[in-house]
Amino acid sequence: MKTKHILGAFAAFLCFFISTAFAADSQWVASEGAKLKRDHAASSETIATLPIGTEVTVLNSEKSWRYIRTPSEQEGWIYRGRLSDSPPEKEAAGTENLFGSLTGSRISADEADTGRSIRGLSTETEEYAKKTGTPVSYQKALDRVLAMRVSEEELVVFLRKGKIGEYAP
Amino acid sequence: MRPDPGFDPEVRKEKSMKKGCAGIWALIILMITVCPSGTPSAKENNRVKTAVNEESTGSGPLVEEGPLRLAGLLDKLLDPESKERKILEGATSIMSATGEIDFKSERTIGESLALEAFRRYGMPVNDPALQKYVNLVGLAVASNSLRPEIPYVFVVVESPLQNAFSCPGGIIFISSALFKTMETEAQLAGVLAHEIAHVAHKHALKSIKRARFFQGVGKITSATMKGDKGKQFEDMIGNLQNILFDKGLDQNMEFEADQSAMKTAYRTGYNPTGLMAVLEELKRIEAGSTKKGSWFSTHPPLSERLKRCREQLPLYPDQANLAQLPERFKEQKARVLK
Repeated sequence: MKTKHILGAFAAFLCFFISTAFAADSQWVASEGAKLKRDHAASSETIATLPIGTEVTVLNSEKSWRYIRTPSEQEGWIYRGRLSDSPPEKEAAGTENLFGSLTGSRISADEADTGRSIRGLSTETEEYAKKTGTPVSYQKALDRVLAMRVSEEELVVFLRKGKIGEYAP
Repeated sequence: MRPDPGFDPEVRKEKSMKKGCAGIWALIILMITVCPSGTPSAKENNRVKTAVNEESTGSGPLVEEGPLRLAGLLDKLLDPESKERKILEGATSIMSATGEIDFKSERTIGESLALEAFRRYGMPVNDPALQKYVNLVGLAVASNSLRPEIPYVFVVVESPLQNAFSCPGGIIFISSALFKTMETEAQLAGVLAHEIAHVAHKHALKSIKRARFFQGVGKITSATMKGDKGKQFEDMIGNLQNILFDKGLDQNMEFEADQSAMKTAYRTGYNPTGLMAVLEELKRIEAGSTKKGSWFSTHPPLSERLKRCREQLPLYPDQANLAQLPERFKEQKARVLK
């Protein structure tokens, strides 16, 4: 009877081990501008740019690259840093993205005027500045800071020149 | 242990629980508020029970009233102009004040604080090329941070104090003095990733969640900047200045930001020990540095931070192969030293 229990427990453990060892690994795209590549190199052809939150199945890996399948059955390579083990939290509608542009699909009607990149300080901040007697020079300085923009292309060139992440040799 | 760390599941769980609770509370408030035309109150229940009895005597079909009213309520909720919909929106807005502050309001707090930061620390270094470089490094790490979808901006300010801090909404400051203590781009990336982590974890917002300003207010609008509320907003910004510029955030928030910073730098492809190198250098110069208003007074003891960072290193077995970029950084440092 005791032997039967031990054998049963061993079989259950084996089943669990096999199922976890061979189960496809689910991960999520967690970075802005995550590119799906034909091969495991940044210079390889880009198949698609995957939106944040896309759940993917990791099928293989090669150094810092993961071979994945997307929900639309596309397969390709992605740099490991672009993935996370759990789904990232989405920002609410109306928020500008990392590069300061409003993405149409996520803009709610009542917040469609959130054009901070063009307008600078919010009206509420201007009101705060007025009430607290903040010098105009500070407001202008903050306007310039908020107007600073880096495009996605500039960032790619910067990373490539520095051989950072997916651009490392 | 996986060498490829993902997001902290505890943080996500905490956030989703808060959202769920806010939604439930909003619904409860709505149900209580619209009770006369929706779900029956105890008094109304008695009336319905009486009506059921009356129906059995043939006086009317009131037994169907509850479900019909509920269906009516749902119809009204779908109408954006209805009173019920507005009550629900208001309740959700108030709930969001105790749970999550919307991004527009978060950014307004950040902008107001940034104005005070210029007053306290100094104006931006007048060098567009340097500011651009810092923004490129900052956005490189921000794109792989816990919160990659908001428009971060980074600014180097002229200040003799070694300091870096983040305003809610993603406005991140680094002093010229702290910049001068660094030697590589990976070190700058580590410090910026630490500040990004504070924004991503909403550490400053958590510190003012119970501010009087947010009692009965869900979001910041022009109307809330006037009268008593306007005064309470100023008090809240004053309180935040005290936390970020003098007292410092909770020590556990700092340790959490260090941990997230190493993970973010690593995911981007920078050597995650960059942050540690800055902490080591600060430790070396601590004795001869001004403490008030600097990283020395607003952050936990450097030896404890370094110890905790070292404990993270097994997560990054290939860190030695990752980018450090001392040469590219040197060119920019020369601009600050001019």
